Amino acid sequence: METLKSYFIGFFLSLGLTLCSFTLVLRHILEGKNLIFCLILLALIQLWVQLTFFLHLNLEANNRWNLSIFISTVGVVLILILGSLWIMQNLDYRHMSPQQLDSYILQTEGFQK
Amino acid sequence: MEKFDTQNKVIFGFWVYLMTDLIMFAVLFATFAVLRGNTYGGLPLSSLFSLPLVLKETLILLTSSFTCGLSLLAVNHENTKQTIGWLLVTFGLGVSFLVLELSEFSHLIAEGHSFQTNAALSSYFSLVGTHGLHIAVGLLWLLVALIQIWVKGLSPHIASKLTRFSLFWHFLDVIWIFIFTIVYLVPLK
Repeated sequence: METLKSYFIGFFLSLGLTLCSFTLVLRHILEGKNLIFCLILLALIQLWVQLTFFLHLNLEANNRWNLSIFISTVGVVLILILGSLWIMQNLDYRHMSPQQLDSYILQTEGFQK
Repeated sequence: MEKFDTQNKVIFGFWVYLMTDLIMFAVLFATFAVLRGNTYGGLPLSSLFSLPLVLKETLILLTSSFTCGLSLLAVNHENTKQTIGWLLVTFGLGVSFLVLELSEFSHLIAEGHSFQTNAALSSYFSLVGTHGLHIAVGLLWLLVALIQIWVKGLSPHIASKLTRFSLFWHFLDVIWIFIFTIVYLVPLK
């Protein structure tokens, strides 16, 4: 499937997705959690686009091993990133002074902004 | 048939290397995510970056990934002239990406925001710098491949090398998607 068409589709889809991400931030269209959610979503779509149309990762028989090692690596990557964030956040919480802890709890419980 | 199999094995081995590289980048991303707010009283990271410059870098890298794919198509059609042409375009775009990135780095350092200033900047320079180092190595590889094509023509050996190079180059573009999203665009809460 390495055809001219697949590279053109991949290029223009990636271009569109990239411009969407930058417009969202530069024009201040969204803010806060919505912005983060949309940016991550756009990045994941672009990841899929480039894997499919540039790297030609698919379910065809001669590509199966490439795909399976890719999926297991994604598992390792998720454990590394989410695990690090979890551990470090917990460490941060346990290192707070009593005053910091009070204001942190008030903030996360929504009593204080 | 046997020849085809060895080729496939070589490319699979290279793919496994790319996956280990992915794990290294994941560690750098995790470090950055943890340390991005620790500026030791300095300016927040997001106020130091110029987004239009990052957009320019992104578009250049994306286009070079595309032209690299076109050169691979020319290799499959055994069209030497087109191969060299698209590879030269890829090389030029890669060099301009690297120049933009280095000018961004030198600008940051000149303004007193070097990698020694605080933890956030250290993690930023390690992550983006490692990507830039990969680009530099890729450009060197491309230069050697170009000289080999020029001297020996498009042999099967070089065609296989160019297939691996294009995997490497597309992979770096995939990493860049997450760099521009997580490092430059996602705001610190």
